[in-house]
Amino acid sequence: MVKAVDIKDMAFSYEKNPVLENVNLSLDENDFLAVIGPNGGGKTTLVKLILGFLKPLRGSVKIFGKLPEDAGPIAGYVPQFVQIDNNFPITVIDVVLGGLLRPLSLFPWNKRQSVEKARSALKSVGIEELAKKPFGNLSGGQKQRVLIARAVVSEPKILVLDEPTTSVDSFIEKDIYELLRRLNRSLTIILVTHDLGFISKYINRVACVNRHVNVHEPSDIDNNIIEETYNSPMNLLLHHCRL
Amino acid sequence: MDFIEALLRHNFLQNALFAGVLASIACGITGTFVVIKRITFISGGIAHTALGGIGIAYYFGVDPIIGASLSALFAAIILGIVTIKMNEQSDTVIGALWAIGMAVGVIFISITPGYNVNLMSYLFGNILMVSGNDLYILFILDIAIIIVVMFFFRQFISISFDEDYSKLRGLWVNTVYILLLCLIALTIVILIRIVGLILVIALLTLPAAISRIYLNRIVMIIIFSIIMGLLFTVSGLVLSYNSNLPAGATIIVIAGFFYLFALTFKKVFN
Repeated sequence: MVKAVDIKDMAFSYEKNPVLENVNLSLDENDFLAVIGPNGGGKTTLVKLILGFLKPLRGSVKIFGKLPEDAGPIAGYVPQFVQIDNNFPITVIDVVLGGLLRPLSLFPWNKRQSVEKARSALKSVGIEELAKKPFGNLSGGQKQRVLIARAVVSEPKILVLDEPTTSVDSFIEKDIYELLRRLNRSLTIILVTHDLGFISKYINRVACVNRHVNVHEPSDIDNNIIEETYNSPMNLLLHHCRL
Repeated sequence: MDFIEALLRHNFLQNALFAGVLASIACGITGTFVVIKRITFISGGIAHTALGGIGIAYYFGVDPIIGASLSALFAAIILGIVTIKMNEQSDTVIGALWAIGMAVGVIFISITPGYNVNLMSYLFGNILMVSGNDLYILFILDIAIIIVVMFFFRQFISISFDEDYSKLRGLWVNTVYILLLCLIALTIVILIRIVGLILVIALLTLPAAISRIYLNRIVMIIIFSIIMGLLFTVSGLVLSYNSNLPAGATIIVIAGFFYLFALTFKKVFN
């Protein structure tokens, strides 16, 4: 069976600074992978390589057997919160419709079918009633849901989220993880996170990223692995993880 | 009223009014994208490079509006590539092209034999000197802008809102961005005729900036910007005619005061 994600002997560097070395990672369909590691360790870079925003220096990255840049519609992506202009004048439904755009989507603007898809994506994340609201007026948790709706509206096979819960309260965080668990039934999910707390029940793989990538079963994660990944004793994190 | 009588009698005032309408349409549409994508500085670079083209065209006896169009489009493409390729230092490069464009323009205008009254009219605009032929060109440019924006509307919004996601969807992000810059270049050429190079960025951005303060939907911002633009150009024209003031500067002063008022009003009452 074709792997959802298949990375072989991959390396990447910005200018001359190696960021990732010797990465091997493979995911099956419907895997739920958490990506953890220190800031600057290469988590976001790894995600950008999987999505095709960056090209590997060596080795290969494939998603569902294709190069990421050819696989665009296969992947949905929820960016880090800071990357989005929070005051941009756009309605919720238009954000979600953006998830259906293709290079030749020119005119007419939005087909009825697309609008219906966008509405049902909003429904699936539980905020159908916000469709006509300006995106800028929403709370952090609602915005995050809109971005998830945009990511799933094209019915991708793989969903990548880069720290989707950094700016939301912990009870909303839990909600969002519940939502991801539901989506995981039909999707492969890659989640970059700082905190394995709530999510540890739902994931089946953990990638510890700090220049190298080591993949573990969640149950294997212990103090040593965390220390190795973060280069320092991280009792705090593990304590927080309740693994 | 004096102005109405004069308007009915004088062809140049009718032309000025039409030019104001055409300019408001163009700047309402593209100015909105300049404001939401925050590319005011690069637009300034394009505008000042246009003077180089005006100078060169003037020297060779070609219609300056053609020189302005070509050099503004050239600047849009070059500056587009520069900002894509060298993210961090791009503002320095924009600043350099900005200065070079202006300098080239001034040199060519000064070595052109004859009386150089036109330099001032390109720097500060002269809406009262718009000819029927100019109006025809402005009209064509307006139509071109409307058609392109209609087709690329959602793509312009997408690359402004979230460039990464647009890339993920396989959109030709860089091409669409340069196309947007080219539209801005054409709009700038239209506006130079009205308010001149020095003031062009104000008329491009102020109506959209005012609308942006109060509105949350891009279509509404565009429509309201066009109305604002009309208000500024027409009232500026009337005021300058009645008080014998320079039209371009009067238009900008009105727009500027409106913007500051809108901003303060929002801050105080929110």
